[in-house]
Amino acid sequence: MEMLTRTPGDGKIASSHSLAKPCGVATCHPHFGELLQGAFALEKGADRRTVRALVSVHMPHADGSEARATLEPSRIGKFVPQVGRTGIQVTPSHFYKCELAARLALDAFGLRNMAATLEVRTFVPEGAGMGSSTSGVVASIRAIAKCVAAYRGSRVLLAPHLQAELAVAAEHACDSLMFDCTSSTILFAQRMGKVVQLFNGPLPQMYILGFDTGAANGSIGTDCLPRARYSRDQIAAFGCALAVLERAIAEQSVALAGRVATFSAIQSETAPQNPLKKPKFDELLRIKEDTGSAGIVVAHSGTVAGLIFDPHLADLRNRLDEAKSAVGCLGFDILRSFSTPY
Amino acid sequence: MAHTLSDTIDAHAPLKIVSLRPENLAAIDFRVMKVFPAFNIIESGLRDGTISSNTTIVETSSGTMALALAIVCMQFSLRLHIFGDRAIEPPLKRTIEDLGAEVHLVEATASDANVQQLRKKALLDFMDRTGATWSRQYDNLGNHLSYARPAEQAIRHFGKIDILVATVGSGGSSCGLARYCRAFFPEMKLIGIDTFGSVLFGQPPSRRELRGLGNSILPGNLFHEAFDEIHWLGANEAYQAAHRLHRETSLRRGPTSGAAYLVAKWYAERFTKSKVLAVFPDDSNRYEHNVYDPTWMSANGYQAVLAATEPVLVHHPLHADSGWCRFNWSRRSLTEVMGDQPSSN
Repeated sequence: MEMLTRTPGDGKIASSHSLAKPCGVATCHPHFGELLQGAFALEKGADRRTVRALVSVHMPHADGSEARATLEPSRIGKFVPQVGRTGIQVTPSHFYKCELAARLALDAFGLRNMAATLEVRTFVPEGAGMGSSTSGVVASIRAIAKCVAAYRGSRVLLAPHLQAELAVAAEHACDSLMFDCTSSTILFAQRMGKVVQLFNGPLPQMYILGFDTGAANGSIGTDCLPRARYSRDQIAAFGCALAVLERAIAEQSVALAGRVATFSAIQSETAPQNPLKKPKFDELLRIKEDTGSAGIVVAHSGTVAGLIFDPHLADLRNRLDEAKSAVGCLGFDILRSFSTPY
Repeated sequence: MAHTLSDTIDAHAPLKIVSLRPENLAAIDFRVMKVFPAFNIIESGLRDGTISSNTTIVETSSGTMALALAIVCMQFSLRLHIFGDRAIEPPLKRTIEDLGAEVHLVEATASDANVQQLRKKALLDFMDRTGATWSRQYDNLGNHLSYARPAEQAIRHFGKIDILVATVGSGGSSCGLARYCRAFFPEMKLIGIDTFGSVLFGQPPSRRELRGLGNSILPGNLFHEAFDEIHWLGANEAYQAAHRLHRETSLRRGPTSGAAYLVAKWYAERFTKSKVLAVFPDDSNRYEHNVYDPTWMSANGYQAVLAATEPVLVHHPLHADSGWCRFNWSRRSLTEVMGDQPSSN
């Protein structure tokens, strides 16, 4: 894997190479809500069963989390993946999901008695729906893999599927940040840690104006958020969303990808049980129309939202400026503009 | 069980999206479209407990819904009684009976204006005597739901749909397909096709020559506000359109498919930048000995030269009287269009 051979070069956490204590530094990018999140009736052999799944909007150019792990071979013990009994000393100490993930990763590499220290820094706000938690967990897993490689003096292959399996074990539901978003698109079951559908190509390149709708209302603790429940009608429509997404990818159409995003945002607003409503959503829809934006992307369990633009629009600058001031007038903080999935 | 059933449904209605000429035109070629609502209504009834393994199902139908229910009820081993009229001709009646269902024909000619009232009365009498369960194709919202998968398939193969052209009978396929397509393409135009003497879009009930579309009652599944434009076609127009469909595409289908082809092609040729999707609900099985029999056609006076080839724009549904008429419905309710005149239902 690329991340195992790359030297950590961004210097956010100084990388010291102690011979006695194998260490590793790794990062993971954040995301910006989901293009699509819902419940999908997927064919599983003969049966159709309903699976909760999502398509993340990656922010591959942004900093998500960085983790530095150091193995402590002198501190052998009987450790279990239970907070406080993991043998992992984590900083900051409330990053218990990272602590668990590191333990699970060491166990997966067969180092059940190995202790470690783990330092995690997160660069995105918690509760915004930008993957602060999953990016920390994935960075921790990757840092542990680097430690293990250094400890063994050999390469360690850390497949995205294994990262997903460990991440979901550590935090029950995780985003799909461990998968490469530049070559293909995946529908990811966030509670199973599994890819349930693979699309033949990346999402079209989109330019997103991102803002936070939650500054006034405080952030959302995604852990205690009740699951949205969708109607049969909505689940039927989510199937159609996959077809629109397939066309968006095949045609590399920002317009179609935008339709999927807006649809998904509306389902999140209107779920019959536990909807997650964004303040002033109708005003946002109007701004989308007025500025020629292709769609609205939201964090389905968070506070951020964004307007999607086709980067090839002739007067993109003007439209962005217009959108920025309109969103600002609603009282939302503009976070940043970014390009995705590359 | 579920496996064989979905295989059976696929065999009867493979959900093929066929590209046609001009290139902005395509069709969902259903063949036996009604297996979708039939399956959905029965399956959700079994799921929510309103239907059990020893329930007797009853339904009114003049044809394809009867056949579709017979297919589905046979798969679920449910008893089925169909209340139809003379539109269920002997070959179709035998097919349905071979699948284990019973067919009761009311003593009305197929073209009677009040045929649905007569079929419904016979059905209600039967329900009173036996406690059977009515699947209610006209008012069962599961009917709309069953068109989500067809919509999904159409989008997958045809992409963004600008104009959807569907014949209207129960409102299930037209409003169901539009509902799911418009979740993504709210500006999509829905064009409904009705026939003279059908009450669906404001005409008073009268004798209908053309069957398989239109209705003598207003079904609960019909949402008038979904429609942008309505076309009324006569029997000759639809029959000639079925022949044209066969000649131009090699697809041998029924007159409702022909009607959809005629109208969809008219839009596709006029709006060359719009993608037009036609709904073909039926195949030609029931029409070999009439619409596709030249002797029958000429004996009944159906001649190509007499069929209208262009729609006449009318400004009120009551002005649509023969041939091929078109009206801008503009997503209004029936009352908005008709004013406060007493409903013909």
